[in-house]
Amino acid sequence: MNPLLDVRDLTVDYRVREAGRRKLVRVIDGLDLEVFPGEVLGVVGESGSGKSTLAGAILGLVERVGGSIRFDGTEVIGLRGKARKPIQRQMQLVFQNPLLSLSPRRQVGWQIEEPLRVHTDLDATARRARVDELLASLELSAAVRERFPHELSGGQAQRVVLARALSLEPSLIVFDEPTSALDVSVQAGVLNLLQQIRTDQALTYVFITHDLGVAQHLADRIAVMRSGEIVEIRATNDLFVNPEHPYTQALLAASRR
Amino acid sequence: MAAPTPTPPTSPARRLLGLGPVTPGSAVWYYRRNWLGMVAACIVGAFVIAAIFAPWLTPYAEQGRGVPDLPQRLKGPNGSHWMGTDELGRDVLARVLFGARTALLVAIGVVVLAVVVGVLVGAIAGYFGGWVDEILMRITDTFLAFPPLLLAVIVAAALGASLQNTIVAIAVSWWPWYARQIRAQVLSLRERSYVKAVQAIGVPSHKIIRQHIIPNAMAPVWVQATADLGASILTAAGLSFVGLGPRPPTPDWGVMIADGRQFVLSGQWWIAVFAGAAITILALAFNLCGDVIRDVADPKTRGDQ
Amino acid sequence: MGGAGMTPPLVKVEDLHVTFQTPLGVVRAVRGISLDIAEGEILGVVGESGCGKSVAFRSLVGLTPPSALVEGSLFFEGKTMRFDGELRAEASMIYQNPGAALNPVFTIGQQLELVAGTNDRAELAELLDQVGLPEPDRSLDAYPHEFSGGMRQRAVIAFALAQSPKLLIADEPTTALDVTTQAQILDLLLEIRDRTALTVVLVSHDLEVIRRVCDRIAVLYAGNVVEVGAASAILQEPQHPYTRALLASTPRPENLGRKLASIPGMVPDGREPIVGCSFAPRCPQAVDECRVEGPEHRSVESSITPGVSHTAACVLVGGSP
Repeated sequence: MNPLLDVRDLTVDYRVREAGRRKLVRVIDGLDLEVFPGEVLGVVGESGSGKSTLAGAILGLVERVGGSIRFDGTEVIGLRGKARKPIQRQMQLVFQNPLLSLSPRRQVGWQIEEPLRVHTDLDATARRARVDELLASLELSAAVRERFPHELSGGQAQRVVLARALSLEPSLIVFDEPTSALDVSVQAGVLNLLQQIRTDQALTYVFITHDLGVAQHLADRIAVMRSGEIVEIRATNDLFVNPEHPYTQALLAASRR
Repeated sequence: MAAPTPTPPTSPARRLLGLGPVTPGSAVWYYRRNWLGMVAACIVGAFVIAAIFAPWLTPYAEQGRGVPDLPQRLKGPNGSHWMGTDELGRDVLARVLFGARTALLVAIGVVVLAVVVGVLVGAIAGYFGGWVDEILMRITDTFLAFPPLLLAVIVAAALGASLQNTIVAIAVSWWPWYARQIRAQVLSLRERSYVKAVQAIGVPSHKIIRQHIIPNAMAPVWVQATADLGASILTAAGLSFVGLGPRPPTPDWGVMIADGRQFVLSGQWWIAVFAGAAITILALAFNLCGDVIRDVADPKTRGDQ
Repeated sequence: MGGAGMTPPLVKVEDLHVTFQTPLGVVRAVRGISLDIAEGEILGVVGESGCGKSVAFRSLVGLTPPSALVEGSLFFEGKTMRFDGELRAEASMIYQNPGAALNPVFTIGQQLELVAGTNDRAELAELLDQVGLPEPDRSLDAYPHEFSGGMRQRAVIAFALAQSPKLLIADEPTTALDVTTQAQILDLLLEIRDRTALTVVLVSHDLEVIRRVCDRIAVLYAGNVVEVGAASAILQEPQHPYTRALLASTPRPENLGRKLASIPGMVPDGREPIVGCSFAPRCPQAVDECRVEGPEHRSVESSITPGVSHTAACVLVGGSP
């Protein structure tokens, strides 16, 4: 099977100022990764491991990216503006802290429509109909459309963010950063929903988290990242039963005993 | 006792503007609980009404616009001229009322111009970063290097004295402050998840700046702008006092003080004093409004911890 | 209540209420918590956001804002204490963000001197050594920014211990840390307790953290304790529907392959009056009785470990009130 996302020898540099002088720091160093259609790949690592940068590189949000990222066979590094549009339709990014990923001063309906305005020729009525359809499929009432983000509960906001990501029927969704901002009971609902959507729509997920429990629950395979590299990538059950890399072992030991 | 505060009824003014009731906990709601802020807002409102309805509030509207009435010159406050008359026999109250038009026009003109330019420059510099930021911020710094009043004087002198030029002169010295403030806001906003989210969707940069960045960066600007309305009245008065403001016969408080100054020692105090009082009260009221807005805009200083 | 046993508790809290007067109305953050803390135990206090767990324990040491009204009784070693910070002589507190507790312009040593009340370098280094900071002598001259998050939290714990408290209140001490560092800090707390018989209250939203180190657990919901008792009893035989839902919603190995339980609805707003059981509106098992009267704590005997019992505030729990 061909990978949907094929990352080869990825490097990302950040520019930092140190003692007044600019220099480059390599935050991702020669990373290889394959994501196959229909799977959930968990990416776990601690802060500073470069896992969020990886998400940024895949989505084209960071500069100074080297190597190769092929999406469905197309090289996406360096694609900008119009050339990137077909890719943007297929790949969506969801930050798991939903309240922070909605603009505070815009009505929710307007924000869900955003991808439709950018990527389709649908008129206002058609966009509205699509939003209603999305809200209904995520078990949200149509009244939510008129609300502002602060008027939503955590769980509702997460559904709204998902509605926005699903509006263009993408094939890959990258989830960046953990549900740690949500209470466990809310997080549970979100995780259930993600699983259900995945099975219903045959989606592929890249799921980035620091929470091994969440990764274990959701992912088919898990990649463990440290210092900009993947130290181990295995099927979830394998990894938990039989971790090979010492760092993976340390991580598992720290989260279970 | 634990019952939530009942929603207050919509005031007629808000209904007229098509607004709903004030939500408890909103900034407007907190503002209305602050008596000092309400007093200041009422004073500002009174000046605005005076400016708009000046021709109907005085029988001497023509004099307010500058037509002299020489037989009546330098009369003290009396029954028909409550604030006396000036050296050309014009009713001082009428001059003060019409002067409010000039003052508010300058204040609003300066702030709108400075905010528009400052917000555009600051937002573009902050959002794009890199060399765009370098160039725009060097320009901003160049303006900031001059003391604002001095810069305003230089620009006003170079452009020539007129109402529009006063506005431009003061705005030129003020926009960099807004640009800096907005840039700092934008630098933090562009790292927010919701900005990253719309970038990933592929929304064009100009739309992101206009629809997602600027609306969320404006709160501190409104606070600053309200306080600056007062400061621009003071600065404009200063410019006209030294002859760099609007020329006679435009009714202007700064000019009134400059002209009335020579009569104070000979006992005709009312020209300068009433104009000065108008400047002081209006500037103070704007500053108070700004202070209260700053307090209610920040949950930490709302006073309910 | 459980844990009190033969020896009197180190701290006894009775009917604690914390209310805030705000222009938006009265917010009742804590609604009648009663709790015993036994000497030498690690008590875990778990609850979701808005359950009042932080406010409750801050109020014990007088760290609530001036607009808060604290009512109830507080006993330390049997003596009545006021809520104005009197307990601070006996108790130290550490927080989620260790960076905020350290002054960036002074060295660790300079700051430690102030709290420890000594400038003897060897003594100060000893304090840092106790919390497992490497090279304690050199660390005294380090500035907070030279430390990693975990090292800063260790330093903050050293500051807390410098006053030789009998009680340490740790409010989300590991929430901002990575898993490996989190594990180290939790180990440190255990080790200090074993060495010095310090009593620890660990406040956290994270059941995993609580599960690892605590002897007893108190589950908070809407400003009240809904279930309290030995950790093993709470984790293995939860009685209160809220505790059960909380456990079933956590992604844990034992929940693998199962749909996680999410709790419908929201935690009641502090401004709403609560009639009956605070969890009833979200409880799948609620009966009419629940909506009328707030349930008493009832005792349950463990079916796994005989002789161990814990209490839950739910009418469905068998046993005597």
